[in-house]
Amino acid sequence: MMTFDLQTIGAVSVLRPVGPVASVEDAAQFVEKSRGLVSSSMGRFVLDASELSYVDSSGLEALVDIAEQLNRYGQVLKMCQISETMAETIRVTQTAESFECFEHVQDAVRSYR
Amino acid sequence: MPKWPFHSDQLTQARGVVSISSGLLVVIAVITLFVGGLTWHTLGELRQAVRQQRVDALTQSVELVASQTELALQDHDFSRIRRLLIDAQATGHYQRLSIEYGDQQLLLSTDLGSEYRQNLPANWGESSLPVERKSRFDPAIHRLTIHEPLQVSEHQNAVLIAESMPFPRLEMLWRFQLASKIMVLSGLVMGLLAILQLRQRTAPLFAIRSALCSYAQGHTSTHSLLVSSQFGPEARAFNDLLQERDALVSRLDLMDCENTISSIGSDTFGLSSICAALSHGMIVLDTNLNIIYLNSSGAAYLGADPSMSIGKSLESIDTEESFMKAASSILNPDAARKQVFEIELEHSSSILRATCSRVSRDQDTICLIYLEDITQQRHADKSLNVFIAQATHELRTPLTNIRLYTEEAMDSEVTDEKFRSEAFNMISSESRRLERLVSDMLCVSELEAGSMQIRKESVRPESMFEELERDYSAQAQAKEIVLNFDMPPKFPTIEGDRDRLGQAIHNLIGNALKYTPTKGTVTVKVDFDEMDSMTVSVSDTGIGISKEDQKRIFERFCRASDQRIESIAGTGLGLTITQEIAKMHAGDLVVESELDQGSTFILTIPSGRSAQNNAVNKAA
Repeated sequence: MMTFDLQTIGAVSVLRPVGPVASVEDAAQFVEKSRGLVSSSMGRFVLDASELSYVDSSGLEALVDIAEQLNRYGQVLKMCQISETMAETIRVTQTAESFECFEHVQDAVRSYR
Repeated sequence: MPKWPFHSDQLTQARGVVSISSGLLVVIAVITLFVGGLTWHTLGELRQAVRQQRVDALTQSVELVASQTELALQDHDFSRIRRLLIDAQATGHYQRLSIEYGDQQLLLSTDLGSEYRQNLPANWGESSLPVERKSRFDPAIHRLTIHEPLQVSEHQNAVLIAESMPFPRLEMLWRFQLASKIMVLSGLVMGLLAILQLRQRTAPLFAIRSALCSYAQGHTSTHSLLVSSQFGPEARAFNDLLQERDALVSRLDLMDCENTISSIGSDTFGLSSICAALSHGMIVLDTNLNIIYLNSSGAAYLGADPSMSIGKSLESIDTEESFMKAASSILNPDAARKQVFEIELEHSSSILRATCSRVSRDQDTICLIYLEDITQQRHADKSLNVFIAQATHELRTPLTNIRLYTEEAMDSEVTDEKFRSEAFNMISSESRRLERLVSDMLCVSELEAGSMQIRKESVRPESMFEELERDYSAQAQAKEIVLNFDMPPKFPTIEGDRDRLGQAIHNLIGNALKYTPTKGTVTVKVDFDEMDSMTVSVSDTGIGISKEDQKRIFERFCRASDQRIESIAGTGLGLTITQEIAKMHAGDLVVESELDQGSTFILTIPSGRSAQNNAVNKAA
């Protein structure tokens, strides 16, 4: 079962999903949670992927979905601490241009200033 | 009939009813007029024919009587003439028959009341009588009078005057003709009504035609083409069409604008694409405050759909009146060209900085509103102000103590060496406190600014913990606290910044010793999981932390609201720094505590392998 840690740093919402996105249900839950935060923070959103160990195709689709919603605010999906596997998945599927990757959460948050 | 506003099916029905009623009225009026008029004319002709037939018969009869009378006159047979006239009257066709001679002198008459001669005159005299037949019909009394000349001799003339009985009025025909007259009048009335109705129905069409003629003459503005809505649904529909035309024209203008922007952009990207990709909002308005361009960020800030908003008034999508006010103001040629203001959106608690500019090119003027989301910036400014206020407050206490003790020690009247020694000790202690405080503040400042870097290297934890044990044994012993180090038999190597990790664990052990009373116990336990992630638990039997305080002890300058710690020196920055260091190592710091039962701080630091897995591949 996937869980979510939510942190607000300044005016930026930081979401840390805990557990793998390995099913359509997980992806739907992930998208729903993210969409609400993106909307309420007007696009000031960071995805902390430190506990996101694995994403399947539906999870990747969910990430692109969130990125598209952020595009409406003129933003890209800012992710931090993504795993090697996830980075490889993003590279292979050629979706890297939809995301912006940071080493630390603070770096991603600071980019909103 | 349905009332305005119509639904489409009702409108069709209403239009049909009106058309049928007007058309039917016209047809009935025309038929009535035609039938009535034809009947009237035919009956009139018929009555005329009947009368003419009667006139012809009487004329022939008079001619016959006249010829017989002439013969009798030539024979000078007066009595025969009289019999002829009496016989003729006896037929019932004549009311009176008479013969005149000379200067209208009566020779003979069938009218019993008239005086006439009893014989033929010897001298006929000069005649002024007509020499040709004359007929006259008196319509008032419906009677025909015929004057038939009589030739007695070459110089002797007379005239036979025959007055007919009144002609029958032909009542039936007259009634029919009256009825046809009424029909004609009815037809006229119906025709009039139909014309009035048609005029009413065609009034909007004429108004629309007039507007179209104006359009053909070059008056293309909607304001000059609008027709009064009092003309009914057609007029309102026409006005709606004009409004839609305006919206379409605006959209076309926008497309032209976008095309122009695209054409002047770089080869690969047009400016419109660049504007659409901006993280800042952009709204372009015309002089009527209608939206001619809105990028996606601007639409998101206003909570509008960009494609549906083009051509609409800003008022229709703007929930914040300040945009309207600013745009109206900036479009005034006498106003400043630029206006900057900040606005807090109610629906999202976001703060926007709006730069409203008037842009003029040739004779066109537009209003450009540029929106920047400065919410995070404002938070940072606020945090900085709070930090400065808190830092100033924290620095003031040791500085005041140093100043007071220095002044006392320098006082020439104080000769007590013991007091001086205490003062110097206090100054030294407060100086160290100040140094710690400044050091911690610099550390927090580096964290806030993002300038703090960790230098990752292979760290051997056992040596680090040996140093920590040496550092704190004396302090624990002095306070009669039992300090236990529960170490695993074997330490794997971890990836991290040795100094920063040491600083973090220092803070935890230092806090535990600080807030644990005498005779207490502090235990430092180190564990490694199968991924070699390190977990350092620092437990104490101290005063504990309340649930409320646990939520905020990681905030800067925050100390628990327990009265027992007021006398204990502390900056309130240690846990903030420790947690940030943990996060910089992709780890975490959590607390478990109960008031008066002690606290446990658990620091988790991923080891080399897991840290490597969690490391960000920036190239991705």
